[in-house]
Amino acid sequence: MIETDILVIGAGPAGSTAAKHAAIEGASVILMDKKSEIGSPKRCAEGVSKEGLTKLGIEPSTRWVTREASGVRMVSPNGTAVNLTEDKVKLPEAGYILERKVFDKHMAMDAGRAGAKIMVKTLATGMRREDEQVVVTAESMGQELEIKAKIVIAADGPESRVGRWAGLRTSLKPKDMESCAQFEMAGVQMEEPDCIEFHFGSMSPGGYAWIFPKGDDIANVGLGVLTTITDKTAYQHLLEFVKSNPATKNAQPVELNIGGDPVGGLLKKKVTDNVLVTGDAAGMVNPLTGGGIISGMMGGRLAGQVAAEAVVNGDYSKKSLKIYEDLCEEELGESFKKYLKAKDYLLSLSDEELDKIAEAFRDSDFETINTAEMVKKLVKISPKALLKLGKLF
Amino acid sequence: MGFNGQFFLKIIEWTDNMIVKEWCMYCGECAGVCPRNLIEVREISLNFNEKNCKECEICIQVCPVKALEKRDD
Ligand SMILES: Cc1cc2nc3c(=O)[nH]c(=O)nc-3n(C[C@H](O)[C@H](O)[C@H](O)COP(=O)(O)OP(=O)(O)OC[C@H]3O[C@@H](n4cnc5c(N)ncnc54)[C@H](O)[C@@H]3O)c2cc1C
Ligand code: SF4
Ligand code: SF4
Repeated sequence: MIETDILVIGAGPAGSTAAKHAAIEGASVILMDKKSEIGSPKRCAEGVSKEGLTKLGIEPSTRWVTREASGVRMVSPNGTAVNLTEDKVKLPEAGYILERKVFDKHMAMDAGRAGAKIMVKTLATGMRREDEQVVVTAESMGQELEIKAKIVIAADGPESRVGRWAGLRTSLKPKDMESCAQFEMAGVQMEEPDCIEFHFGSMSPGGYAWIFPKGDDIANVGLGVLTTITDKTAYQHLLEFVKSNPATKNAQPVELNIGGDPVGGLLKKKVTDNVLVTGDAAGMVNPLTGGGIISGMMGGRLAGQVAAEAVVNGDYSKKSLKIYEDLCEEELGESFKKYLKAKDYLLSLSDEELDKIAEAFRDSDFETINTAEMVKKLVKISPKALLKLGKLF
Repeated sequence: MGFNGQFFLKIIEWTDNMIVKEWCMYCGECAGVCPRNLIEVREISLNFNEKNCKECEICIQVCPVKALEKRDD
């Protein structure tokens, strides 16, 4: 039996960050992932904010930043576009477009450099409690392993099976899980190649479509749908979007990515005895944008630090880990609640309403317009905004 | 034996009722919504613990590429 202070299951951005910070605090750490290549396949449009990386203390590297995208272009169903630039408004996922396959590996390397032991191609298959600790069963290259840990950090992404082994309710209802499909394409002709693009409307029911530029004529072109309100698959919607969009109709795919994005908001119960859940598995995804890289890493850092401190104190009980929930609430919870409201409003709009709103805002000077004026303008075209967004401002 | 036999048969049928299509990409979305946590997503295969399956078909519904099917007979 292998023994360790902390076992992190899943080496995505959240797990690697948790492992790094737990190791920095002096704990013995094992980080495992079922993948043979950490970061691959990617399931992501790869947009992150510069501010987010700065907050995490991560220096951008030319190895994993493909390009900067300083603005956001929002497009309504009839093609009306509203452009926002970084210097005028704070934009959640605008900043850098990453190469996740490289980025995720580098985050894991940082964990390794901080002292974590990394096991690739190792699948956690189950969990049991033993002497106030946790024994995780795993499989690696045909071998059955048992790892005994004082604390397990479940960072296993949208599958979120590990937390459930420990009795936490991490599974999601289909209405809280975007079903996503994406092509990475070449030959994309974007009108504003410095902007990440969002397309709203019935071509992507319950979600939106995106075009995120990766330099030259390359871009991630994808969409998310709620399968509770469409009979077509995300993939079918994607094919239709690509064919009908002027920027992509002559582009060619070089990669297909699919996956689930948990957009229901932060999971309430994130800890139990010996176990913390972080990243996508704990719903650490901006419910409006679907972005979960930065927020997952924020949560991962907290998980690693709290776990390491519990090891020092020799107390791995739910009570001792509870502080993690408060810290996450502080760091992410409040803003997520606002984003959740904004999402509900956005998803309630018909194609016609979206077109009208885009029309009204497309020539706005967002530098001079203040929030109150913006809301006034919005409520004039879309009265229900008052009801749905009221408490937001 | 009649009633029990039938019941037993039904369970046996169901245990290989989930068909995973060859184009499954092991993204794990189905596993994330399975209310009973029955789907193990390996790097390139999918395992169902079908004897506890309640046939809710939520896993089939969310798949972005329709790679799951229930044998219907
Ligand atoms: C199509 C799409 C587009 C997106 N676009 C963006 C975007 O532009 N910007 C953004 O910020 N976010 C985006 N997201 C969300 C983002 O990808 C996730 O929030 C992020 O990857 C979460 O990180 P994580 O570490 O929690 O989980 P993951 O990155 O999913 O990592 C989990 C890891 O756990 C491993 N694992 C799972 N189970 C086991 C097991 N039993 N044993 C061992 N290992 C296991 C997996 O192999 C995986 O490597 C997007 C998501 C999708 C689906
Ligand atoms: S959601 Fe579909 S593609 Fe993804 S693992 Fe499940 S069956 Fe395979
Ligand atoms: S049908 Fe329902 S219970 Fe059975 S595997 Fe699918 S989601 Fe799980």
